[in-house]
Amino acid sequence: MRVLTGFSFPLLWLLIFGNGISASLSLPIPGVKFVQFLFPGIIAQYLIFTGMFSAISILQDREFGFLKEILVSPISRTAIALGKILGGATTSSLQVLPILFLGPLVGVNLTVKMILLLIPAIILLAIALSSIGVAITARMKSLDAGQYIFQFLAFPLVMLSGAVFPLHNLPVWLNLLTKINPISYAVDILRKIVFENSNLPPQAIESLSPTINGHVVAIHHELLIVVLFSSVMIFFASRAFHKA
Amino acid sequence: MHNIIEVKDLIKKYKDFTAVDGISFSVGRGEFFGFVGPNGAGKTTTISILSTLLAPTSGTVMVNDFDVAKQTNQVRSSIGIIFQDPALDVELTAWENLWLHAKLYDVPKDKFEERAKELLELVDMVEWKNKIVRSFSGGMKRRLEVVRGLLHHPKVLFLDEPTIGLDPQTRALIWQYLKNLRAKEDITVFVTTHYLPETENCDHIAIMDKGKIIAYGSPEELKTQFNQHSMDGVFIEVTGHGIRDEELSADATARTQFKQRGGWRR
Repeated sequence: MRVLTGFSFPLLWLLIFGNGISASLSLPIPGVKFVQFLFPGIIAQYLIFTGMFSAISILQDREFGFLKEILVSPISRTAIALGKILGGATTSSLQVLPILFLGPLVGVNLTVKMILLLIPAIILLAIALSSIGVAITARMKSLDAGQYIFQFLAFPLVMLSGAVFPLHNLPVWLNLLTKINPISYAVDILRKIVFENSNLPPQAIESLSPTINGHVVAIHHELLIVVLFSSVMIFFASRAFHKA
Repeated sequence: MHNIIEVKDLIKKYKDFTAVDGISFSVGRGEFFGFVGPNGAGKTTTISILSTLLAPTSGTVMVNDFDVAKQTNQVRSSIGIIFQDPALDVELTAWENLWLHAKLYDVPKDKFEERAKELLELVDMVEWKNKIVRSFSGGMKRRLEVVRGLLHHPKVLFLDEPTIGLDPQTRALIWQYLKNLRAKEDITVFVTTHYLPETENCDHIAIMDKGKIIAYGSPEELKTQFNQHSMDGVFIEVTGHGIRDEELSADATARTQFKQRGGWRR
């Protein structure tokens, strides 16, 4: 049941929203339908939600008192943070992987190489997103507060990440916000992998990826940004457990 | 031989609210130590500091000759704790909860199994070991927590109101387990409670009120000192009847204000 309801989210976004928008709007890129553009974006979007929400388990542990049992034990605070992050990243990766098989339904051919590249990318992003979640929830007291914060944070991060619309020809302020959002680069890693390893035109990346000073950010730089960002978040998460 | 717990001039402040106001006391090795006081007196705050969950504002606290502020991990390894509210993972079985605890405290597998069986027998929980904790009664959860708290052979066992919300039979049982335990092992038991007659089991008792320790001694000493027949009598004599409500509510207000201001950040 949980798998089924979980799966309805990407299904709705891709098949209904994606195809619906594709019907009336076209991207300024020849040969790419909106729904095909959306495909890697939905993977990313689902990763953002499941990755960040997985950290809610900390608040449940706090509410049920179990967190104290962990905090009073002689294990390092970094181990507590990492444990929570890796646990969350595992569930979130597993939830996201089945979406790959929706690809053919929206005209994205799956190739073995693409899947082999996407899996480690998804795991890396799941860790990054789960570490944001843990860094925040480790500082929070109640379950309710957690849900509000995520509404406030997860939605803007998704909206400003290029998951649902291309990051080009945006108003200046919006453009700036998407560039300082580290998630933009995470989303783009998935998009580059999908476009370079399927039937979609790889040239389209030129006009979809985030740019800095007019240059498209290379995938290894994006990976670096995501890794650095996760490290900072892991640092904050273990510090939060130090004080809690 | 040193005392197992040495507290000196301990102060804990939350902004302008002082929860613990300069207390000093010590607990000898192998003692049964009772820590009592009205709600909001600062008992749980004190236990949280002694168990490294909260940092003191000032003062020194030594547990098993380790400083809680500096040698945090050594203190953590030296103690077992049973919190006021159950702290079990209810999705897991009794045995899985114990196993996780053994992992956290680095108890080797063979030692763990032997110890867990022995302790489950002590609290009559052997037949429940493979059952999910969610279905347990309050008393069963408590007994399981006692087992878990003792699994890694702690030098001090802290129990924060271990008998709260339990029926008299279970309360008596928990105390019986603690007595049996004490006969078998070299362990110090530090317990807070609201049921004053239970403190008759203790070697020494400290009564705390409004962040200060206002009386200390063995049950007999306290009864003689305050000319009372029971520990209930001593408690009321020491902490007062009439002014209680008023001052408690002042404390309660301060705590509520703290919660509102402090919000979700400790």
